[in-house]
Amino acid sequence: METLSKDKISLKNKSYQATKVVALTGNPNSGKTTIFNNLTGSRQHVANYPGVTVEIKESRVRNGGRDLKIVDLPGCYSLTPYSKEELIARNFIIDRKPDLVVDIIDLSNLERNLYLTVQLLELGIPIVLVLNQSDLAKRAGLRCDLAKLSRLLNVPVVETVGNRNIGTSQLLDTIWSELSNPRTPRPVIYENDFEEGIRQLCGDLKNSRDSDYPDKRWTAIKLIENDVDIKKRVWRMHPDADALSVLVDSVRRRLTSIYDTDPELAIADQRYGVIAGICRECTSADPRRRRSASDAIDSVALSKTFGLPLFLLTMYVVFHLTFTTAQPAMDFMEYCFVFLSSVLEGLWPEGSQSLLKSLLVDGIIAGVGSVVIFLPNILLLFLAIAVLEDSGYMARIAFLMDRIMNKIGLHGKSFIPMLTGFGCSIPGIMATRTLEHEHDRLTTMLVLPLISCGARLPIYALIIPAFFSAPWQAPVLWIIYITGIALSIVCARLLRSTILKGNQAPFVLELPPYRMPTVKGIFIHMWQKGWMYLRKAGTIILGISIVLWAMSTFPKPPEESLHGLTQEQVTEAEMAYSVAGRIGKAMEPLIKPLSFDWKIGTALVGALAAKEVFVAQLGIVYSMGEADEESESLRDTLRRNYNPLTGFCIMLFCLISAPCIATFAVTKKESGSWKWAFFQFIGLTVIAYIVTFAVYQTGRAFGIGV
Amino acid sequence: MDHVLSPIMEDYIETIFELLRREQVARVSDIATRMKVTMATVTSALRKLSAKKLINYSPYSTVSLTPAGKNLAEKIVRRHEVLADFFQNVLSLPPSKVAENACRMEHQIDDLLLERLVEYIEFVKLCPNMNIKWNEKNGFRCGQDENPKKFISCEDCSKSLARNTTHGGQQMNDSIGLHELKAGGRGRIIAVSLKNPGAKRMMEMGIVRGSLVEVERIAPLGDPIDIKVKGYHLSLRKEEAKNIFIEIM
Repeated sequence: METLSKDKISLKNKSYQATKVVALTGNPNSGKTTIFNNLTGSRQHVANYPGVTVEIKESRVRNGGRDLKIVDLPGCYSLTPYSKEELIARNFIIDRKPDLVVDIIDLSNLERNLYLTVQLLELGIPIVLVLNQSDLAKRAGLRCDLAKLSRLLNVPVVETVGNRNIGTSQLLDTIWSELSNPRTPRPVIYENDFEEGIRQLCGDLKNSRDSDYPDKRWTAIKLIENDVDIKKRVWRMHPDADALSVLVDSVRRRLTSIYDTDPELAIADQRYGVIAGICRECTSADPRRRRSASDAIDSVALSKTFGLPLFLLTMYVVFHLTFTTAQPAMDFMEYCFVFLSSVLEGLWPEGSQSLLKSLLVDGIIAGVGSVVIFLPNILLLFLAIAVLEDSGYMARIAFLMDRIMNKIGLHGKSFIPMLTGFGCSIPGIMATRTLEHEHDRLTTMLVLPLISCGARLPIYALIIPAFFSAPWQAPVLWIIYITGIALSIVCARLLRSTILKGNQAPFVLELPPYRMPTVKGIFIHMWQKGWMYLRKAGTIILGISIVLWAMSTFPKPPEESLHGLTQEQVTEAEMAYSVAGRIGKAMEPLIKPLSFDWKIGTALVGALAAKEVFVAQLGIVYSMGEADEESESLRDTLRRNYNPLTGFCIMLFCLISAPCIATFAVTKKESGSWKWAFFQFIGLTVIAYIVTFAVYQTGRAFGIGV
Repeated sequence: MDHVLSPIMEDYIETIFELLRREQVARVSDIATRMKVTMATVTSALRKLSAKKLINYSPYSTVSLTPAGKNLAEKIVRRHEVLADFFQNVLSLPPSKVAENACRMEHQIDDLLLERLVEYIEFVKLCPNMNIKWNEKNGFRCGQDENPKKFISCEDCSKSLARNTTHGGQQMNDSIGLHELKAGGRGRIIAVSLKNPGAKRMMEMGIVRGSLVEVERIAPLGDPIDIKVKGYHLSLRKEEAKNIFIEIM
């Protein structure tokens, strides 16, 4: 490897056609991403949680004038897709037709990993088999005869230790030699009755324009397996779909009667039969059954006595790290931004009315800064999540929590996206891709913004000390967080029993062995998520800050009306006259029953950009100049103008109501339709209105906090 | 809104629906070929359907279904599928007769009859006991249990039957559901029931006949369970484990 270039390469790139494409595939947790990083030098995150590669990552390797594009696919257990990411992986292989597939196998888990391999053999695409983590397997007493395995399947076999970068150059050499001189893998031969059926179907497939699906034999097998996606493709292309459909049905019926079970299950049986044969031929295991370190950890970490307490302790540590440890770093960031804006202000003469200064200081720095100061928070949360994922504990959390999540109507795997949601809803929503069942996935996505994200913290930090005395501050914060969690449970149940009704998705989850997370891996992970957050600050929030600044600056009131007012009164009058002020005023009758006035309304409009903008916006309407959640003068003003009940209602409304624009955009992207994004946006706002209304009116009736 | 259509008109709707599904476009000529009639006949039928607001059609253009039309088409197709299923899997009609009869009958059957048929097909597939009665409260049930208070679910019933009958020449006397195993228990899988939507997934993950399984532990809250199969740890809910029958070793 001499020159390495990373990042996405567009399909339009001219050299694309000439470049050979190599796809990395394998079971989740088999070490694909590590191998990918070794091959390309790229910094892709590697996690020890099944299903982390949620997007296709590409990277280029240039080696002696030859060009190679390496693609890291999401992990899959089979070429019959169950989850969205498995479909992504499968469709990449059959649509983009890579020149070579590198199948990465966890040697210590050979049998199950070979299940995917035998299906890949059927595709007729050249394959390189990589036996990864061979050191662990050897330590566990497993030996594998590579030459024999290679002979049996007619594919080259390479041994690697991914996390120590052993075998990478040999793998690269094998890839090159296989590309210049490809072998045809030897497919599995099934029992006679199956082969008979496959032959029948192959005969019929011959006549079709078969560019939309790969190898005939593979397609025939998928039709027998009743693969819906493949069926659709074939039906679309085939000249006489009816006849073929009848033929497929009759073949399936015959096989069903012979095997007394569905053909797809019978075929799985046979594949595992073949695999057992391969393993007998090629491997020898040390008969002493070793109790692995991983099992020993689990006997404590998942035990009846310690399982839940350890889990709760872990959660406590995660939150402590995120919210308490991060505080000094946050203070420092804040100091930096205050310093930056004072430097910028110094460039203009005192009391200048320059629009550019106002845009920079009140618009961009105030808006973007308020997001960026949360970076330490977010980074530490992601650090914690990275450790949990890479070590393998995350899958255990799903295991421990499934009972509860199941009661709520969700899946054990929903817990991880929800947990991430405490940091930021966006990566949380993206993490729902690991959920196999569409309804589980949508439900998790829709209720996720109810989990109070880090961006809402500045609002609480401003309001709580303003209205509540010290002993009450922590409980009030707790109430807010718990309200969010409780509402997400109620909403999830409601969704699952109404519009997203349907069977519970099965909970079939691999518990990978524990592994010591590597520092490099964790920092790559943390940096990637942190970068995503910063990018949001740099793009969406920057843009919206400018728009909001313009909205609260223009139009300017006529000069004569400001005559004789103090500087503060001028700012306030200007705000009232601006677009944002007018929206706030227009909203006032609507939000009056929630005890909110137009000033809060204006700030709520700002909160759409990012929740924390609420604080800055409130500062502006109260002509405090640059305000933040530590601003005592703003707190005093709030105390004078509102009562604690209103303060509580503000927090409640900010917690529940429409998520920020970035979350809205991600929901649209991940759910694939505007419908769900709008449903979430409007639904949450309506719930927020109802809940806040009820709380305020009840509180007022009983005279609590007024 | 209920449209009362003649069988032939329903056939048109069905044909258009099929064409749209397969080829994304329904042309008059294609409809004519499929229905084995002239283009003029098709055109006049399409006008009638268009008047009933079931399709969007104007001369010389392609045809599409309105939401009401699509709804109706889906209903007809479902009727066809249910009937075909019944003829094929319950009555064991030869395949050539299945489609023919289903096509004839799909126009005549109403919703109640259809739903009853569906229940019946499902019941027959599940229950090996042939003493079948309909009962207002529980739907189709085997006559074994007239007293609804004594009612046990079909699932439990077929399981207890499975224990006492032979399967594939192998005695299943000792078979139990995987969920009945205690932590530390081991067994060999002898059958996987297909009722569970996750059955296929489980089989691909190595839960196949002959595999050894060991229940490593049960989650602190009682569900799911952690099993070892083919040398790795897999977590399953008890609900899913119920469908895996094992013999204790």
